[in-house]
Amino acid sequence: MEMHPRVLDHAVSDLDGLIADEAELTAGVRIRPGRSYGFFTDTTVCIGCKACEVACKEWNNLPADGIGLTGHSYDNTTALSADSWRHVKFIETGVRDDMAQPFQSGWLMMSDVCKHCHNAPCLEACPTGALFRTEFDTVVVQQDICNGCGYCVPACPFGVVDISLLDGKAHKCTLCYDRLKGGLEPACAKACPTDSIQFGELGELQERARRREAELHRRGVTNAYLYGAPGEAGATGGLEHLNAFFLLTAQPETYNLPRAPTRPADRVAPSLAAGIATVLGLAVAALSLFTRRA
Amino acid sequence: MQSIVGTMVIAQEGRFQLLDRDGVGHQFLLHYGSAVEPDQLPPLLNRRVRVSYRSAVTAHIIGHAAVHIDLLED
Repeated sequence: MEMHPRVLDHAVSDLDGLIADEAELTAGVRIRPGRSYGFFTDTTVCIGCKACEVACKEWNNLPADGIGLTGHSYDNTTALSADSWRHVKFIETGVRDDMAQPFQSGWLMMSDVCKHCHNAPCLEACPTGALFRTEFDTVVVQQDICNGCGYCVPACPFGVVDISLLDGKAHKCTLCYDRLKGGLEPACAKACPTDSIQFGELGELQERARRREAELHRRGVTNAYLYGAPGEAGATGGLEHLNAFFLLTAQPETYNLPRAPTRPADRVAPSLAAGIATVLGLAVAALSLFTRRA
Repeated sequence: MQSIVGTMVIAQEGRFQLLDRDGVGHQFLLHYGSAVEPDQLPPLLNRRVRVSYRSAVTAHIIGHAAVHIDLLED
């Protein structure tokens, strides 16, 4: 059967191989196993271009979804899902403040992603070990081991993990695990034209975020704060910190983020104790009832 | 079940892309009932295959679930 010539276009890379430590050129960080890496998303410079969404879909070969208009402003992706590992939220903040300059928009934009929690509830809930922590301190689903039980879906306090209707397995952002292994910056961070999404070593990112927060406060944006950094909102309930954390300028609920997320595993002991106490209580009540009758 | 012939150009985990004879790309995920494992996909790169598939179960996904993959003679 004759094939169209385009089929063989660019079938082989023009380069001899990978550029060694390419992330050093694009993100200023050398990726080494055994260190913690993450994202710092500065929502104050997000312009809602969705380049991150497209880059993610392109690199990870994810099917397109969210076709058509939803009626929710410019947001046609609507939420993170098994096929959308990056989601740019468009939040209309209502009538523009009279004090705002005419060129200032009344929109909040935020590129949401898996938080790669330090104590990841999805990983704790996974019965097969398909979810694991990588050598880069990120959380990844191994597709060949996932049995699609779905325990990770309700365990995630951020509603990130999702089961695909096509293959029946759990999917979420891998923080481009394959790219990290090749010394490449994650696709979304590399594509971001305003550096709203910054990739790097976690400690350095947290310092950079604190400097940015202080700078914004100095410039009069006093409502800027970090979400998911150690000791801040979003890093509660035993999560300790999020490897993908954010700089926000409105309450977490405005971005559909929980103010104080918790680990379901922390509720196992109280639930078990409550269950045992109930059984014992019923047993004592039944015993006293039968003893009285006798 | 529908089928399509093309060249596999990208394979990643259980996902792959097929280019048909007109150069149009088609996205596939391995169906949960497929006997094909994700690690069997990379050897099929740049090879001509016939994929039997089911269309996406929801209308808002441009993707298909591949059930069978047959390697064709080059």
